[in-house]
Amino acid sequence: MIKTTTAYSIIAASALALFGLSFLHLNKKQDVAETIAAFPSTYTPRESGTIYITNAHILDGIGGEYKNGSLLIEDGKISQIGDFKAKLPAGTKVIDAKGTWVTPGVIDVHSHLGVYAAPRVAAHSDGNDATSPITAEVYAEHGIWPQDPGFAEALAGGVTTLLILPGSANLFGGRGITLRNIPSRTVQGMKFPDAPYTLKMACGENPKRVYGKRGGPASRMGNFAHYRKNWIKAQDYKDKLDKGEITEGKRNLQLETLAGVLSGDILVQMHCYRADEMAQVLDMAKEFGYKISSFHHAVEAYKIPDLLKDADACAAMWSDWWGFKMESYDGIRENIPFVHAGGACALIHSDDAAGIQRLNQEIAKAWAHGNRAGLKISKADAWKWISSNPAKAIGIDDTTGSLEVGKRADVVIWSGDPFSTYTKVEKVYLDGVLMFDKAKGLKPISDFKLGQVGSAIGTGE
Amino acid sequence: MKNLLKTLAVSTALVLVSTTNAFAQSLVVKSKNIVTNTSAGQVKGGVLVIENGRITSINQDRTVSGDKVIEGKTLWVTPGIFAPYTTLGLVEVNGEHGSNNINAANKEATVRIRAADSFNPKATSVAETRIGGVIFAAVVPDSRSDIFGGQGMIVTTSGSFDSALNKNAFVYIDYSGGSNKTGGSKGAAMAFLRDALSDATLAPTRFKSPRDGDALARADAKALRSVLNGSRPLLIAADQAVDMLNIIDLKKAYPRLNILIVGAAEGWMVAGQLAKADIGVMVDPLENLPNNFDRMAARLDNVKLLMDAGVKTAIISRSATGGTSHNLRLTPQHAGNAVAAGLSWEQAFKAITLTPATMYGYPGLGQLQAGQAANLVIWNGDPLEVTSEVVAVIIGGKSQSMESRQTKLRDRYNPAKQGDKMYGYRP
Repeated sequence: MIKTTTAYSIIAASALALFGLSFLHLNKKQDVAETIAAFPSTYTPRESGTIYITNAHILDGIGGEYKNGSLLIEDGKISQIGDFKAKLPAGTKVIDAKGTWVTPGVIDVHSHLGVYAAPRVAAHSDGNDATSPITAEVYAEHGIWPQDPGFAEALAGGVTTLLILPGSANLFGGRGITLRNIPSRTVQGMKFPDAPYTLKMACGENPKRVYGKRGGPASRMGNFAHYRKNWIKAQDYKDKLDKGEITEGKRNLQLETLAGVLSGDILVQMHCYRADEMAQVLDMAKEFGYKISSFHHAVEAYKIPDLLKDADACAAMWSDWWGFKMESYDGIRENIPFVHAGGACALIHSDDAAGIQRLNQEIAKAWAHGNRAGLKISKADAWKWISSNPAKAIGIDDTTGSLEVGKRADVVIWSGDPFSTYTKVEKVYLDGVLMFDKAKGLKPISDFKLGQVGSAIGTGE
Repeated sequence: MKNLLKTLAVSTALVLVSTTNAFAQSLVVKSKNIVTNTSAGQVKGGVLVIENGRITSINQDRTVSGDKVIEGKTLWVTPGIFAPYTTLGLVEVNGEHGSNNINAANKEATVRIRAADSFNPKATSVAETRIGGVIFAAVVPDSRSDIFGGQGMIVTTSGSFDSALNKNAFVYIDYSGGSNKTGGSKGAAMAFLRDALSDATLAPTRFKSPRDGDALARADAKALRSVLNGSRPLLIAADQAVDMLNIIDLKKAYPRLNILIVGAAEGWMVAGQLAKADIGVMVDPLENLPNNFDRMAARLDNVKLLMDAGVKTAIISRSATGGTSHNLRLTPQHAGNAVAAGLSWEQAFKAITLTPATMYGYPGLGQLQAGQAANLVIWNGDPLEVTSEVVAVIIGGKSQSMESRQTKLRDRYNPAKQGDKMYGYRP
């Protein structure tokens, strides 16, 4: 069972995003909408207390670096950062972080945890509703199994927030959902409060391969024809929404999602590899007046950083995947730094339950290759690829993605320089609450792992 | 000392000697560290001399000079990485059937299929692999129609048409994934395997016609005979602990078999038994998820626990996308993560060099010592660090090109090096 053959089919996915604002933002004029904010988030963090982390090497996620810095967390938020001495209230938990590095929590904008859960049995294949090329009406959150053991391993890799996307079989794959990476019995308990929804769309090979003999599209021409036909329908639907003509009983879930994109409430996450194809998609977005938040995989983004910059579109990339299909053939190891150097929004993504556990190593590779090619990118700037840029790409940068005052205290303490293979995550905080502590063996265990062979010792270490 | 090249601490494009010619005369590398994988261990501040393609000395004499000198404060010199489980050169683009020769649907031929007949040394992934420091690979034909994939080969990544070191190096069986291909149960797969070994043993007398075997056709039974006396390894993919115990039992019936197990996700549970049976394993140290029911007990420190029990363990990168073909260059990263999970650096590095080389019968390819043909990689830092770069590659005494399709694409689009030529006319 040599991996490359199976990897090909798994990769064919990506998706959408979030939840929380939901339908009512599409239709502010409609009282009816107030009643249908479906599936609301029930996530509420515990009390964080006051935590003072000091003597740390801090990367703040927006390009700042403090070689001997401190961080104060109060009520789940960052309340101070930098070279400061704080007057600590009684009961403050003080962490002398000498020798460690401290960063914002890792954000992965492309995960299929839960929708392609481990074990990868057929019964857990809930990421692609590959029944029609247009499935904008499906929501990734309805396919997520919160007991996927992969969530805990991602947490142990410093991942605090992740966007779970439907797969890329369909042109319009459905809505994605942004999650807090905390153990929960329900998906609602993981949902990132007030994060915008996202729509997963797909370019290129996957839709035409899946539907080529099932009614189409059978070509890239067909892909675009289908996109445009549906955007036209969405324009009409949005028009009716704006006029108050869509009442209870007349909702169309598919067009509701597309109209949400046209109104700017739902952020498009577009699986697209080739540079020429991304350029076509950007023109289509202009035609219909919507915005691409992020191209996913974007193996050829390095060829068009100027176009991405002009359109304010991010590119979510791997550090070195290539060659598994034709549209990934031109992958280079300098993709992320070249996009960054071109002034566009560059970021890492995993699309993989193993890769998500060490995204720090993925940006370390990209950073090193970029600098070898003659760029001069600091580690502090490169950390944006894993923190503030992914937060921007999925519309949550107002509350997380950096260690700025007032932001959520999503914090990782690393055993050393996170650009080293040997560095490990020591502690992870979500909203100031300690969720993972390597030294103390604090780590969630999913229901599925209980009582399984080897479960007494978890997954090692 | 006419062409003294000095590299800086952070060397960028250090051009070694010209192209892929044997060194007419001598090359001297003055390094921070030479990893020999011999009793000499690591030579700090080591100086390595190559003359006419052979290593002539490894010591700390920094006064030595030669026709070419490479010197750098951060340079490491090591044996090249040996990737023990790959489909390198069997595929150009996985998704395009015409370029993908990883496995065969033909039920009429299994063991007799040779990777050597599919291997293309000009596949673009070969150059990417080489400039990533991986200079040897075991090329494995995957199975599709039954548990047998066929006969594997050992290659260098020089990319030349004569890069095969052994075209009939081992036979590959997919046991854990093979049950669906051979009867739908593991019991059926093991029955098939036992019958196949019986067919091979009795091939000279059993077959009056090509179809007289219990499991195999005559040509496949003959091909399988090459593993019976242990001169060639039998590579078996298996992950579940109980499967490995059954394979150990098989070896009791055929004690001369030289069995190597690929995968071994639950190997730590039967490490003592594997060591006692002298069965080596090849493990991906990043596998810690129960991705299927054969891997329920997968854990990050599997490699360490296996080595602690005395099991010969090589490291593979099958969990990475392209980790058996296009991304073999990630092999050192996987080894580095085994260090993060408790292995010593020396153990981890041997697991991607000397250990796999020895498993396939080429220990010298995993070592650096005077008298040998030069097969080595020069790095600008610790090779297991993800930020380290390969500076130069020497295979069979010949300096290798550090260019690839990807370096060409990089150079064309490098924002730091844009000229004024029209697009399409740039180099």
